[in-house]
Amino acid sequence: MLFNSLEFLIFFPLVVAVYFIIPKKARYIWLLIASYYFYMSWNATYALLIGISTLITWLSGILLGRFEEKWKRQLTVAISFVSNLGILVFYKYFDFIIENINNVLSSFGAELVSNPFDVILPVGISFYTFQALSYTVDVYRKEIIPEKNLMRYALFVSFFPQLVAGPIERSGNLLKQLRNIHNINVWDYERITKGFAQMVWGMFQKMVIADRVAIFVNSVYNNLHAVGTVETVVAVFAFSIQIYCDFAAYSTIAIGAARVMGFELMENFNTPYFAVSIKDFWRRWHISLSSWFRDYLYIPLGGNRKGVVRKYINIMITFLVSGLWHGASWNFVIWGGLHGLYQIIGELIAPTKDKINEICKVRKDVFSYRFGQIVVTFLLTSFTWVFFRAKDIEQVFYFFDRMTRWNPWVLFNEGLYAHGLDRVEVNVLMVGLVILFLIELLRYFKKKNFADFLVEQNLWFVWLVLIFMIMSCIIFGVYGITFDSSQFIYFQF
Amino acid sequence: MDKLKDMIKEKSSAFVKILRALVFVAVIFMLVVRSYEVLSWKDTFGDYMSSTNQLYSTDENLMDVVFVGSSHCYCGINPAVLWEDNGISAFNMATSGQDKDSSYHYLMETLKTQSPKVVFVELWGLTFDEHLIEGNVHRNMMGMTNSQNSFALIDKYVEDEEMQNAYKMKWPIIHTRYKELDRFDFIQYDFSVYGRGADINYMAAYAYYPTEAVAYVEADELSQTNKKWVDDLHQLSIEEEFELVFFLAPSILSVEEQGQVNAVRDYAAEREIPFFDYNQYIADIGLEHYGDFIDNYHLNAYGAEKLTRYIGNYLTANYQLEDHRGDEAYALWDKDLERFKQLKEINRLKSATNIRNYISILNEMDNITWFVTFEGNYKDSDLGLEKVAKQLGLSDEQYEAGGTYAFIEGKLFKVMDNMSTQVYIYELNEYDSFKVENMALTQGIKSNKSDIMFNVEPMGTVDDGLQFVVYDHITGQVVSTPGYY
Repeated sequence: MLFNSLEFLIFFPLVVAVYFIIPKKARYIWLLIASYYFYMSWNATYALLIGISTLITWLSGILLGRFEEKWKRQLTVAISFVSNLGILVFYKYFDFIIENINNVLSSFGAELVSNPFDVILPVGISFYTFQALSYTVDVYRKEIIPEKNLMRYALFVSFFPQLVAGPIERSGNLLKQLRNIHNINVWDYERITKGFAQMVWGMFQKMVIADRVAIFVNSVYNNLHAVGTVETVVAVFAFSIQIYCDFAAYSTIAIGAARVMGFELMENFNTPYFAVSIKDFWRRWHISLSSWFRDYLYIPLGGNRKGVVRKYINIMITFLVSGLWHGASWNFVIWGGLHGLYQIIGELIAPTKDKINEICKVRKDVFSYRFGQIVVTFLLTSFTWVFFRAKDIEQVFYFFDRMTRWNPWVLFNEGLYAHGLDRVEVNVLMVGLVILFLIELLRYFKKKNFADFLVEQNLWFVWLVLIFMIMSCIIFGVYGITFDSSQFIYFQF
Repeated sequence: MDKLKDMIKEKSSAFVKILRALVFVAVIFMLVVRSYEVLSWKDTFGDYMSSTNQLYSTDENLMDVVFVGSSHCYCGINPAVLWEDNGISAFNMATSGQDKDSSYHYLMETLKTQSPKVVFVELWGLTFDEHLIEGNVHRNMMGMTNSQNSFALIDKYVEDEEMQNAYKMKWPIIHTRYKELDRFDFIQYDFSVYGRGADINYMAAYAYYPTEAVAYVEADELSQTNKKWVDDLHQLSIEEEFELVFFLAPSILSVEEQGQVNAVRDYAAEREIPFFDYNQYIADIGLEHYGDFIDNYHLNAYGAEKLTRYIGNYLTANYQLEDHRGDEAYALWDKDLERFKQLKEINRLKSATNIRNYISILNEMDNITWFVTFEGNYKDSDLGLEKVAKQLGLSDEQYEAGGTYAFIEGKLFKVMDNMSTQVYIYELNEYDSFKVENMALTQGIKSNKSDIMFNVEPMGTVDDGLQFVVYDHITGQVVSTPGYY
């Protein structure tokens, strides 16, 4: 069930209405039923996988609560990790592994291995697996007491707003709130309005901006043989906007939906394209995942505590794994690797950069310096998105090859309009982008998210903005039978 | 007491919040409804001339003869001819590319409010099972308002469940119309401008319509879907008590298609259902290869007039159909005839062979506004414009002085001198207007050429001579802009 679907439009108000009126004690059971229904509307059988993952991590939590011996505790964590990651690897990476084994075998002229399985990637498997594993580690570290109520824990793993594309919640936040579910004042008008406003803004980002930009990006990538510098460069920036709006939209809707029901999920994006460095970018982009990798991989590997070389190795490992988490393809590995390299190079050249700045008397306390940093960071991240978007490495090279075909005339002969977005569509998109930019500025300077800012305003303004966004989604949203329901990009992870 | 006050305050605050939420939902709802009206599908056979809207705007039980079919039907049959000749109230319930399922359900829709005595069903829909053009699916699936009947058509024709829902809800499809919105999407036109379902088109091209030899193609076995369709229609005609007639409008057919049509002919004969393959009557009807066709598949307005007259003779010879002329209830048919006659006159005007002939026709026409301007060195023209001016009703002095004249509400009068910097504006209606201005002179360039603008569009190209601009009030368009020099 997509957030931007008629099913969800019916499902969500219904779930909320029942949730608001049933006895407090039954709330978590109702949300668990709703969450499983939500997931099963994609593939009923795969709900079994969440069930297995839930059961393993729940049991490991119970055992960790009982065991005192270190080896027993470590063994429990190992079993939980091996079994959960085993499922993840099987469903997500098995094809990739076989393909690479065959590549090696074929280079030696050996007989190829055939893949006996034909599996479909379960939606959101990377998200809920990581969420469940974080619980095991948190219990192991004694940061949270084990959850004894299996149904409550099952809800923590499968909570429908963030089940399939995050934010990847921590037990310290969501599980604690679920334990306190009976104390939630469901009829909090301001909180409901804020949650609703957040959902509306997420829908706007997804339906009006992301899916509209996607039309152009898809057309360029599908017609690389016929494009040149201008289209490819525009497509690079367009995809940067598309992936941000797409992914941030999902998180925003998820956070908004949870808020309507009285839960506060963690922020997942914080104006990432205003980052002044790659390191800063990762503090703002997919925060729940990057902090997961920081807490459960980078720091356990030693972080920056074991010397510079180990630190750089740890950074590379973390980013390569992060790349692989995004998809079973070398593209993603390279994408992650590039981000790791950016950070290492950034740290290595920092002293030289400072010296040059000193010699050239570059002022660091002015807007232009910060703006320059933002532009450079945006260009660097946009470059890596090519690896993310392309279907394989071959296409990446072809894309950059086409980028060298200088064709400025398409800026003047309307050639850019040949990629699915005519003048009217571009005008709609431009209005959407201006709104996006204003809301990002608001977040950046006022440190307030859109919903919190909006609800503080006078009623006429709140209504005007919400009505405008809702009507824009209804009329200008990219959906319907001529629209190949482009799912949220991050579902595939 | 304070507690009670707090309680009342809390309750009233909750009430305000609930009320606010309800009003918000109501505002969204009203906006969606208004947006739906604007975005709704208004084109059932192209050119925004909606035959279903015409049907819905017709009072109950007025139609005596109904034609159902595709573009072959709405190009080939002109109800205005039947009305003019015989006072028969006929209606063309046709849509572009109407498939057989749509024919059946559009007829059902018609029968909800009408009780025709004769129904002509066109057979082109038999020649295919699926549309090749997506636009035609939209036209046929979305033309009707939602009802059990329209849903039955969608369920029958559309296999994919998601598509079925989209057609039933309409919104998932029509919301994308924001890219093509035009004036008629915001303003409800008077339904009389749409006529009675015919497309009056005077374009002519050479057509290789089938020879009589095709008729000797052996009848195929009637396919199961076609057999069921014929049976259903036959059953419907019995239940609803109308005379069912199958027909094929003159159009080129492949041997396979003719095989199916001939199969229907034989099947219909067994059930005593009248059947006419008008390809077989081309000589009788008097149709010409060149002059009566738009292309190989469609008759033009000349051809439609001949075919409809031919069918009119059949109807008067075989059925007791009442002559409704003069009955106020049939005002839409009077309007349709008026529109048809006007289109005929416009076509005559456009086909004028010379300026004298053009002015004669212009003088005979009603419901028009026109402008004529004597441009540049018009006196040097070989056409003898002095005599032309007289034919227009202008004196020698007026001819000598030149300038721009307007014919508005039956009067010809001067609106501007040639070398004037004045601007003349005439508002035709709330949205359309003419402006006459010597734009070059306004910008300081010496010129005796006036420009006639329809809204913001300049009309005509003549520099030295006579420029006409003719606006027709019935179709609401500039219909002719010839220049003579």
